[in-house]
Amino acid sequence: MIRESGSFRDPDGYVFWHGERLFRALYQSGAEAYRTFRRSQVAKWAEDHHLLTRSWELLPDEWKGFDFLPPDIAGVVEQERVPFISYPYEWTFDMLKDAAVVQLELGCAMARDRLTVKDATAYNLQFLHGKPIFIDVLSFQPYREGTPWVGYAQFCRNFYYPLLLQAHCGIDFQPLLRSYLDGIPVMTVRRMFGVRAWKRWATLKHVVGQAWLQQSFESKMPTLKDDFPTAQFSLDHNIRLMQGLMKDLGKLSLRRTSSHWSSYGEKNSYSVQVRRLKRAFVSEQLKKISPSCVWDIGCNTGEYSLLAAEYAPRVVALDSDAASVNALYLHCQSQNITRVLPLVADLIDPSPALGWGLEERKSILERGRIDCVMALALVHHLCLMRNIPLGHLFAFFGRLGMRHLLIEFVPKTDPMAKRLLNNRDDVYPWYTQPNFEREAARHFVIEERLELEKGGRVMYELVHRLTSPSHVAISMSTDEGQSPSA
Amino acid sequence: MNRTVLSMLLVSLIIASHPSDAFAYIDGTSGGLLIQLLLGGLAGVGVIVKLYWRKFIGVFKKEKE
Repeated sequence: MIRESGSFRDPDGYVFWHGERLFRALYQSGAEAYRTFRRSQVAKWAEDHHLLTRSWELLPDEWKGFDFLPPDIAGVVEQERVPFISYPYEWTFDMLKDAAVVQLELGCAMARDRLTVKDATAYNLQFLHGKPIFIDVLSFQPYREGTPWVGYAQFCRNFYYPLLLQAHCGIDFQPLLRSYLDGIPVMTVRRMFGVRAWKRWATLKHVVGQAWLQQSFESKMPTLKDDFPTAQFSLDHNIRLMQGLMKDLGKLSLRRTSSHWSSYGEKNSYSVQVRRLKRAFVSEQLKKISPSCVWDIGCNTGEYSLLAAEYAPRVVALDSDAASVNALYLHCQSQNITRVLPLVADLIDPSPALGWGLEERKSILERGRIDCVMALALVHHLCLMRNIPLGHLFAFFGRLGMRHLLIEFVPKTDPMAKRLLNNRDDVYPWYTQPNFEREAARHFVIEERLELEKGGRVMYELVHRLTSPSHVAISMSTDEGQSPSA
Repeated sequence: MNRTVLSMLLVSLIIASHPSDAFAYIDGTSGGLLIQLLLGGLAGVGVIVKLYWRKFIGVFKKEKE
């Protein structure tokens, strides 16, 4: 049994893994709340409409053997697992917006069944089969008459403010959400907005109003619980607030939908012939490898992520340019492509472990096994722009633990590489194909090599030395020691 | 409630309030609860007015002490 390191705040229960299966241990309060929720009509409706992951309570006999559970556990729920856990600071604008809509839709649906969602953290949502889905089945509890929506401020911090900042101020929310794990505080948002917050009714209410009321009473906050009956709160009031927010969200859109990188695919130096050769090489290798999970690092707008999705059930498409990743997400939504998970991530500064004890949010490298990594048209950016030596580059790829690496070498003579060095001294004498192959060979075996053009770009299929046939024994012992993915 | 009336009320409350810079134990949800009172209708607005009135009276009480 492995207890999920990020699951400790909820007084109603916690998440644990048993083998490859995902469970929630419920204390008495949690068991009662879960059973009430399970009996409601909304439970099945939400599962059928892909708003909530499927879950089911085990019979006492079924978890009798779980002798690692403490005696105060009153029930165990098993739930559908999400193969790759992602965090809001890795989502794009439209991903966060869609997740916010799911949170609100679920909140409204629960309210109609006299239930309430007790919190509104964006970490309760994940992307499964290309769509956002709520995963915390212990978040639902019966509505207490006369109470307001307690998750409202958290909803603003986690969803609404980041989207407002991006839509109205053009500020990327990802670095902010990475710093503020419980969402961006209202006072910070208020300061960032400045006078612009007065321009719209929505920001006047949710930012200016909330910030001022918060500030007015921060030195001596009144106990509001006694005033709830006077204020005549009701479920209708909560539903109206959620519907109002949903309407406001509908009006938010990205100011800047393109970037230098989002049109990079059209600007690159490939001829039709080279592009065809490259696609054929990638297709052929993926067909041969038949991976279950591919990472496409530096995916741009996802041309090769989409190609990989034809051969792999799961593709994690990573790029540091949020506009490109958002374009890929919208493309997947419009074409109903469910195998690709686009995420904003920079290989130079990948998401670290964060939160309580540095265990609450896992680093991006700790969230599941990878079979194949694609690093296409990436190496020259890392080496020539970001000064990553080739030795460090392959040592990093070696640490990722995947068996296959599809990588493209872009020589300094390539027009795109030349452009990177246009106004800079070439201090990279080591950036050559022989050095590339020598450093690669420290960690990988070169299985395939294809020169796309004479003296031009070269495609490689590399196999990790630890998993190549001569190292099977080492590989097996490594696999056995690996903990299940999140 | 009429949007203009609410806006005016919000503005007057903001002008009337004297935010303190004192460091305090800040409950991040307080502003969220208070704005829900304000947006919830007349009854909620009444509660907010009452809270500001208490705050206002509190200033004089402190001075007396």
